[in-house]
Amino acid sequence: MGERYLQEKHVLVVGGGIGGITAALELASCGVRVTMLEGGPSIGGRMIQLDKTFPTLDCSSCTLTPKMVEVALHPRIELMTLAKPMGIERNGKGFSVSIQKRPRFVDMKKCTACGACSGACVMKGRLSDEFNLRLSKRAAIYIPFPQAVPQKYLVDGDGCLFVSRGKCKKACVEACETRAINFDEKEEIIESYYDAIVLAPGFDLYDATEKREYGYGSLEGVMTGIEFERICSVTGPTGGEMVINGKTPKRFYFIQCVGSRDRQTGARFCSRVCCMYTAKHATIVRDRVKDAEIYVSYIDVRAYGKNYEEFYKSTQEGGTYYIRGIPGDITQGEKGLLVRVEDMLSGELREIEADLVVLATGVRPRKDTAELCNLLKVDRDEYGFIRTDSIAPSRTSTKGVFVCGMASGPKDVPDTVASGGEAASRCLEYIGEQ
Amino acid sequence: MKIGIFLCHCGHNIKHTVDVARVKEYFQKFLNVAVAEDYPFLCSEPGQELIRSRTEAEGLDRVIIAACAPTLHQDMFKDLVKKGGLNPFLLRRVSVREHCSWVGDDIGKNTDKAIRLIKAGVYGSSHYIPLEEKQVDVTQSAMVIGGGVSGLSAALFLSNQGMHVYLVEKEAELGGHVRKLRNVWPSGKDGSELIDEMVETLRDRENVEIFTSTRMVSFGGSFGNYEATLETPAGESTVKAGGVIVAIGFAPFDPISKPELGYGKDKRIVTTLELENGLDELGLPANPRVAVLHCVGSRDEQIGKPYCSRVCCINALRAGQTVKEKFEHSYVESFYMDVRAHPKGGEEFYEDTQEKGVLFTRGNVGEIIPTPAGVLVRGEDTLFGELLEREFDLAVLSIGMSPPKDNQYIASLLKITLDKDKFFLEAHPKLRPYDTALKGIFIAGTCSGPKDMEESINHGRASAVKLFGLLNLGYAFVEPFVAMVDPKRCSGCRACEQACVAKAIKFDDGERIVRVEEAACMGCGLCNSTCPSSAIGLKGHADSSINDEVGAILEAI
Amino acid sequence: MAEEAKKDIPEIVGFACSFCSFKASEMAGSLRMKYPEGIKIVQVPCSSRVDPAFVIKALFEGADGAFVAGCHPGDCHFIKGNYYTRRKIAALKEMFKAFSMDKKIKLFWVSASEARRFVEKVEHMYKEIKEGNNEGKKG
Ligand SMILES: Cc1cc2nc3c(=O)[nH]c(=O)nc-3n(C[C@H](O)[C@H](O)[C@H](O)COP(=O)(O)OP(=O)(O)OC[C@H]3O[C@@H](n4cnc5c(N)ncnc54)[C@H](O)[C@@H]3O)c2cc1C
Ligand SMILES: Cc1cc2nc3c(=O)[nH]c(=O)nc-3n(C[C@H](O)[C@H](O)[C@H](O)COP(=O)(O)OP(=O)(O)OC[C@H]3O[C@@H](n4cnc5c(N)ncnc54)[C@H](O)[C@@H]3O)c2cc1C
Ligand code: SF4
Ligand code: SF4
Ligand code: SF4
Ligand code: SF4
Repeated sequence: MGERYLQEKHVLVVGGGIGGITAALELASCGVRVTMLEGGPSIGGRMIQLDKTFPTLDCSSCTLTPKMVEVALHPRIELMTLAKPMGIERNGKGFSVSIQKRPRFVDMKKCTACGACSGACVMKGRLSDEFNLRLSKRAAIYIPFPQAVPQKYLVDGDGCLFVSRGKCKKACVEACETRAINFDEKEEIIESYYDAIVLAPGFDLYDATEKREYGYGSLEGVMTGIEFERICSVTGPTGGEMVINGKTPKRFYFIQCVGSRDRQTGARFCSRVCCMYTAKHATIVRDRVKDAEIYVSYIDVRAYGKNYEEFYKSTQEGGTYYIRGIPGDITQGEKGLLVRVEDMLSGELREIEADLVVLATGVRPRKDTAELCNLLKVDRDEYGFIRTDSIAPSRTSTKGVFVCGMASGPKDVPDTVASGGEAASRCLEYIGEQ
Repeated sequence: MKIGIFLCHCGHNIKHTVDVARVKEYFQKFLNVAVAEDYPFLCSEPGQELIRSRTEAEGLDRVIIAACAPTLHQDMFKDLVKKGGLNPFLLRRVSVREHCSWVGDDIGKNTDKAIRLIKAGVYGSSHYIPLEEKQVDVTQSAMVIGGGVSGLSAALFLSNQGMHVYLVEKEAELGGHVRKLRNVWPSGKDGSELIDEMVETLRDRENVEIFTSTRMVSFGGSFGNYEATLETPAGESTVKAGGVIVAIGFAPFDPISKPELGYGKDKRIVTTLELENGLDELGLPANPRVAVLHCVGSRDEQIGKPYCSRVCCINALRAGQTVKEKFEHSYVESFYMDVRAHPKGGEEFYEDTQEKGVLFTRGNVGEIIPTPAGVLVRGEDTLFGELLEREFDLAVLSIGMSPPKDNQYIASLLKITLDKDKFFLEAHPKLRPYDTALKGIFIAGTCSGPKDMEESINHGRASAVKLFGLLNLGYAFVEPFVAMVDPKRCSGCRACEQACVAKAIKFDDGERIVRVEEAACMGCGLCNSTCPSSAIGLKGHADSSINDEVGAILEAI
Repeated sequence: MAEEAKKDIPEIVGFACSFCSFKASEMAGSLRMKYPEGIKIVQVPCSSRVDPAFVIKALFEGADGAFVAGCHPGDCHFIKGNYYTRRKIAALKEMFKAFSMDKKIKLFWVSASEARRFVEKVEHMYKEIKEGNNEGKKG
């Protein structure tokens, strides 16, 4: 059945988050050949940046890492990192795609991920670590996080003195026992034919500096939800210690709907995950900082998924104060940050002191999906998410192109997984028609 | 014997409450232990490589992985030791995280406990024998139970891929609840048209057999070869399927069980489902006053329904808009706790509804009392903390989703588990949201919890892809944990034969001993603990193995 | 282990079936529920795999208590295994009554989703045994 006719087919999956991973694994297990393109140095997407996931609080890397490894080991999946589609043209029922592959400057076959190079690099501790949202420093040759897949180091071309300025004593090359570092690597363009394409490029987050009144970027102690995830994580900048600027905060203030349900920021939509990730953050704080005072500002608490309402209830019962109303502004007070909020339930205008304010920033489509969609002539909605219909939730306006995950609109992990499976099913139907 | 012990830190998770260095030191001196290593994440690529390479280099003949619970990453670890040249059934997992580091805070006591648990693993596994996974042929057909939108989606995909599909529906007509919807949000399409389109495609396919007005009465077999008896209008029929997708949907909450809402006593109190048939029959005045109640039968611990039903906020908004569209000057007030307009386009729909003039009052409605002039809605306004009491011409109850009526019945036939709310329990809430603990049996759509149509379609198709992936080769592997008879010890008393539920034990008249039919054996071990002569044993769980584990737990360290 | 220390920390050996009770204990762990470290669990495929001899062995080798945990009656993954378990454990308890040791043996049903119930059950047993031990010391 499947095995017989599908093995000649080849599908391109763009994006290696949990959405793309699910689609790729399902397609491969049905016998199809898959090429996965990931723009970054490792697959895993946003989910691998998370510490724990709601509502069960199981650790994100514990559930996701095995899937990532499965992708890397699967005999029918070819994984290309630092790669993205550059040109796409329809070719019969399928597509001719040219893939741009940036150099890693490290030979994947030779690198053992021992880390010796990183320790020797002159830029060690001087470059911002993107995986930790610039909250920590790294070297120019590095691995994005300990469980990265592939388990290979890479050179950040912009940060590396040799690549960017041509001048460095290249201590890394000396340090590497396996002679894996190769500065002669060049960008490659790979041309290939695919029978169908699954888009899973995921999402970005609202840029909180736009909300001046919250002082993100200027006030110390105001951070975003995703940054807070990294603070909580063992692989994060503080090794999982709840320490910010050398101190453990005691008074926490979480603000929901930052950049969602907000016409001013151009996003009327609800981001669907921030209510729950805020409840998760509050629960983690309650667990790790025993005497913490925790406030959450909200409009509606959208705890709609399985066991989400119960999770929200237990967060409240654990001693998190939910205040209905979104703060007007945050200023620096004498004894901490001052959050001004009108509590709609009591009608009072309150000023609450906090050591740390976490902004639950909303979801945005990735800026570069616009480009990708133009190449494919795929329609997007008013916000820039890929347009689909509710009856065929992964079907785009272009035949043979399917979408899953956050790219077609906000989704939590379980919904992303289901949408990945659905995209795989439509894709199999499409390639089977020929 | 050469034993290798690999201890995981799991980042913080184990290391913080177990002194891993002490554990490692303890086992380094232990008899027959050739390798005792600790590592931050054994599941990471270098962690895996560590296990594989050490297994191979040292020629280990037992590998103990002391890390997370044994069900997690099991295939991956098995694969690793296999690649390292060891029979994968000589691998032993010890759950140091779920059963030790996470359940105790005292690092000293936890470390002692971890040592004992690992020791139990070492002793227990010393009795393991190499086993082989058996290849079995699988039937390339699938049974889909429930012909709602999720079941239909699954059937469409599977039949498209050439799989033989048996679609079993208990009602006379396919389509489930979507068929009853006149205006399916957000498409605005007629539900019965959507369904008809799907059903027609299925009817045209030769490899689809549809059984309506049919009930499953028995179920048996194992992955790849399940067998069910169906009671059809034409009589009993037996079908064989490699796997099953359960998609029996939900039951709309019946507000009769909240008598204070007056439902059933007055025709001016209706549910959102009844409103699908339009407003015409309700005899409303020219400028009607309409109340819409959110969360009826949801988020309500008193009636044992603490969960949110996920779709009823949108349904409530839709009800408000329906009234406003027909009666521009109507007065519509919605009573809610939170407006969960979360689906794509939902927030915009909520804003639209407000713009159309529907009022939103944050409140708890305690009771609805029919009066000659109308229906009196009484409760508390939770925004202003005052009592509310208003009269309306119509009260619409936005009802939630309850578990399907046959949940218990199907669960016990198929041996799948129910969750605390009596929906079906998924294997993992995030990464395996439509799998069950049983291979080849999936739960799709609302039978595992509230979902809208789009999400139910996703579930139906995604689970179908998984099933197809399991069956498309025509063969699969099964675990070899089956019973085994020692002919020298068997006295032929036949106690095990009587006990065995799977009917896997047959008496050999010639030899006067029993034999095990491996394909039928479920691996429960009941025979093993029943046999008075210790003649029948369960592979992988031998008496000696369990006895030694008990000993290790209680032995001094 | 010193006799005195043991009285303070009762040692309990539990046999839990893979499909329900062991799953519940796993979930208790993932939910970071706490229970005394004296409680240690042996995984068995089905509660019916538990030979009364295992329980006897545990008690004779120094455990202060032993329990068998299985799926709820009717929910057994192996269909009826737990009915057999119920009979066997009842007979065993009867036998131990003669030595007033029947309180040291417990049988309970916990389904895969009942992490809290699992913890409540084992904690309750632990407390009972601990109190029993202390009384023993006094008398
Ligand atoms: C702070 C925060 C906390 C959260 N917590 C939870 C939680 O607890 N539980 C839960 O269920 N959900 C949670 N979520 C939601 C969860 O992160 C998403 O559901 C999930 O990550 C979506 O996966 P995805 O694959 O669609 O996208 P992503 O994770 O964004 O992955 C997309 C991938 O595609 C790559 N890519 C993008 N464009 C290209 C291109 N052109 N070429 C090649 N590759 C490309 C990206 O580099 C990325 O690796 C949280 C979200 C946030 C922001
Ligand atoms: C009032 C209301 C309005 C809604 N409006 C919308 C909307 O506008 N948009 C939207 O997206 N969603 C809406 N929904 C949700 C939508 O109805 C569900 O998402 C959808 O019906 C779920 O499909 P399903 O296949 O999981 O279950 P169901 O539709 O319940 O189908 C289950 C099927 O299984 C059958 N069955 C049950 N037991 C057995 C058995 N033992 N053996 C064989 N067959 C069995 C049933 O007869 C039924 O045909 C609404 C829900 C309600 C309550
Ligand atoms: S030193 Fe060489 S082998 Fe080691 S991590 Fe760096 S590039 Fe890889
Ligand atoms: S999920 Fe919650 S916080 Fe996020 S936009 Fe929606 S309502 Fe706001
Ligand atoms: S979706 Fe809305 S109406 Fe339905 S239970 Fe949840 S909050 Fe209540
Ligand atoms: S292990 Fe269970 S199914 Fe197998 S023969 Fe023994 S009693 Fe029967």
